[in-house]
Amino acid sequence: MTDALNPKPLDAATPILLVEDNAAHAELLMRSLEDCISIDDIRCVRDGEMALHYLFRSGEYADPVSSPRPKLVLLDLHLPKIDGLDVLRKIRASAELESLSVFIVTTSNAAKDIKEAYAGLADCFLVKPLTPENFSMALEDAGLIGPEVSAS
Amino acid sequence: MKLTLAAQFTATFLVVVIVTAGAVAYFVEDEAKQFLVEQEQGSIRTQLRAHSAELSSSIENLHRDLHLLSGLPPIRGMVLADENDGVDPRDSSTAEDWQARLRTILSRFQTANEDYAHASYQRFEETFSELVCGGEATAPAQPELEALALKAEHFPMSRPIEGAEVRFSEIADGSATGRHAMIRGSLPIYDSGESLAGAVVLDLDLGSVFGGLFTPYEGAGGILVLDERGRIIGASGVIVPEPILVETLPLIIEALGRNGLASESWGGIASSDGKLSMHAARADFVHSPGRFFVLVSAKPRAALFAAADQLRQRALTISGVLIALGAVLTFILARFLARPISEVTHAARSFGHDGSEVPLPQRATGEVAVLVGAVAKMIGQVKERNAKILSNEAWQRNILTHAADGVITIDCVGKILAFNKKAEEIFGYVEIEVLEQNIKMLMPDEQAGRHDGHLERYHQRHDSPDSPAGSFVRELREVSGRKKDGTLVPLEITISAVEDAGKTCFTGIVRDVSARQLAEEERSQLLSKMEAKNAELERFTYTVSHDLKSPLITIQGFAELLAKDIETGDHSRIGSDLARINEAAKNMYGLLDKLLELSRIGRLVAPSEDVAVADVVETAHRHVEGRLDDGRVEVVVAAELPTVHGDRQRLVEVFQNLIDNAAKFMGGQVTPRIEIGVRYDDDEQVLFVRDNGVGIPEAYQDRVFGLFERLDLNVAGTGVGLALVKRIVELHGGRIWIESDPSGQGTCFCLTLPGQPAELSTA
Repeated sequence: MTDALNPKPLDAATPILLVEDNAAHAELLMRSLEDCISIDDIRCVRDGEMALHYLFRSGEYADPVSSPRPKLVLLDLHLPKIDGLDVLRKIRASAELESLSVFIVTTSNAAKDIKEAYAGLADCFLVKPLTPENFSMALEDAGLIGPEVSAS
Repeated sequence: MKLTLAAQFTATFLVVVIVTAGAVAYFVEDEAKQFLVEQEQGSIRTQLRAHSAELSSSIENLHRDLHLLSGLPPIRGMVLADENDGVDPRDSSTAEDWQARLRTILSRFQTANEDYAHASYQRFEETFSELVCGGEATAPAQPELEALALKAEHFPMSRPIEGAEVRFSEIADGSATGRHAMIRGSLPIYDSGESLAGAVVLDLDLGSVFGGLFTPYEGAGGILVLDERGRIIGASGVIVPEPILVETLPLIIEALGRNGLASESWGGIASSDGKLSMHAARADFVHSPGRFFVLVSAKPRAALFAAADQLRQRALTISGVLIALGAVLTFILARFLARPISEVTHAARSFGHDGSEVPLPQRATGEVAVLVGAVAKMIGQVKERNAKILSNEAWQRNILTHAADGVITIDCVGKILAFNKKAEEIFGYVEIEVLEQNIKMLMPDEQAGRHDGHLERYHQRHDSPDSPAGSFVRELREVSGRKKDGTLVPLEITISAVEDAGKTCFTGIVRDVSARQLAEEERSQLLSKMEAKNAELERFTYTVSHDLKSPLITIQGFAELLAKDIETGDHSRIGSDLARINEAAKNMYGLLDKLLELSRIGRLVAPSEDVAVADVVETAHRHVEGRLDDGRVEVVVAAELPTVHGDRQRLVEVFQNLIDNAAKFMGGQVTPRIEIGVRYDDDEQVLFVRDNGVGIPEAYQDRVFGLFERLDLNVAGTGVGLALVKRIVELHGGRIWIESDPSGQGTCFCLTLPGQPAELSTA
């Protein structure tokens, strides 16, 4: 199940952090993910500020037990308070979150946004609506899951 | 000193004539003198030659007569008688007989020949003694005899083989006895035994020989007769002073004797004092070598040159008169010639001085007439050219004066030389106010301070050859000018340097570019406004597309899920999915409504008017009153609120939104309070709406005005309200911003609105 390129595949115990201000979108996304991978623990925050609090374990997310560090962040670009791109930059500027994968999931397909996201070292740029096929392909590309997991 | 033409002519004439006359006179006088001297000398020479020939012939006669006498029979008879005791054996005549016959012959001879003073026969018996003579009375006196006396040593004692020779005695000076000088010729007589027996003697009276010679000499001067030893044996005419003779005569004798010249010879010599001109000729004794007479003519040089001097005097007088006459004539002629010239000069001078025309002389002739003609033509041409230059100048001045740009000329130190009409318009000065002033008066202080340096650098660079002119020349530059009223005006200037007669002038062409600058500013303002608008539009489009897409994605997503659930027969989530779809659609409506509202704001509904902020606030307050009462929010409105200019309804919306927004974010505030008032920052009127609610962190203060920006998703709203407020304020030409309370409590929205009517954008 593992190989040299994928030392730590995504598993159910490792949460995914979903940063999405739109509750409907969040629900759609989670339901897509359920079909695609077996994860129980998807944490959802509604703005950039909360995302940073969670990732850097500050404020209400200070406890590492209740707020385990995710392996993957699904990040919307248009967020209240702190913009998705700013969140991305903060993540990439931190040594602590070095191994964190960040997928941008947004309604925008503007070239400017795509360019800026990749310039901010996003692992993947996914345009809504998200299909399970797109999502698992992205996970494979990022080396987070193997083909057999996807097949399960 | 400048000499007039007449004076110059006269002086030149005088110099030339005097020099010429002097030269001619000098040569003529010399030649005349030479001629006179030669003539005089020729006459003297002829005279001397004649005398000398006469003297020589007298001596020859004496010689011949002595030989004649010695051959006479009485002489032979006397000698024979003496030898034969007083009787001649041939005819028995006694010695006395022969003596008587000889005496008769001698007397007769002497009578016939006046030249001889005394004729005699002397017997020799140890000494000579006179035996017979021609006449008693004529016998020489004692002093003369000393020179004349015969002595035995004078003759050979026996008959010489070649025959007896005549002996000439020394010359006896007869002056002591009042007689003439004499010379004695004697011929020895030998007896049968060939011994000296006696001598025939003839005394020649030189006075009779030189008779013509001793007549008074014509004119000054005289003649001297000298013997071969230089003794004077006769003289006539002027008496030559003794010392001169002592010095001069030996020279003459020496010259004539030494040269061994014939009797024809003669010479000329000046006396030692230079006053006499002396000539000499020699008369030789025939058959008596080494014996001669010298005839000397002495004539005072003054007498000799008298005629030449007279000639010179006469010549000088005449030439003097001629020169004076010539000078006067030349002067008059020169004046006559020069007058038209001076008239032309006067005319040219006064024309050159002030252009006034003096009539040119009409009487001129020859070259002067040509000159007058040329000057007249020249004056005509100059007038013509002047007129042309004047009209040209006026033309150019006209161009400069009415040029569309200001034209200012300064000299090398910055002094203003010219200032045209347009420059007057630009700077507000009139020309006379700035002429002779420094150009710096037209510059702002900072620029004026540097100007002298510019000029200096220009001159320095310009002095060194091959260097480019100062950079401030030629290039088009933008500068500021200072007007008469002190205000500054933006100018565009080109400066050109003009070299004129070794001095540099600078001409600046200035253009007032304030209108253009204003236009440029307006343009750039418009441009940036446009750019801002563009960016806003872009942002708007982007935001709208994102936010409108969101509910569509929701609808699409849940519709798919719904279809899938229905397909799989899982009906548990159909209700919630439909609710999601419904909600998204509603949401979409809401967004579209707000967008329409926002787009409506772009066009103000009512024309601008003066609006009292107090009224606006009151209206706004009333609209939101219901919500405020729910939260028991206290609204405090300042008593003094200004009047602004704008669209009343929109302004009501501004305050309504701000009050609503403040009330929404009161959080857990126990005594919520909204304060509306005005403050003045540096004369700027700032309206504010302050609350004591949750406040907005500084980092998000800019974002809250963005379209669809929502800070708190828990509070109801679309994220359009503040964007709307901002848009209305900006449409009115005002600004809006957030100020945070330092304590972090509450928010203060500040805004400015124009008090004056502003041209409201309808974009």
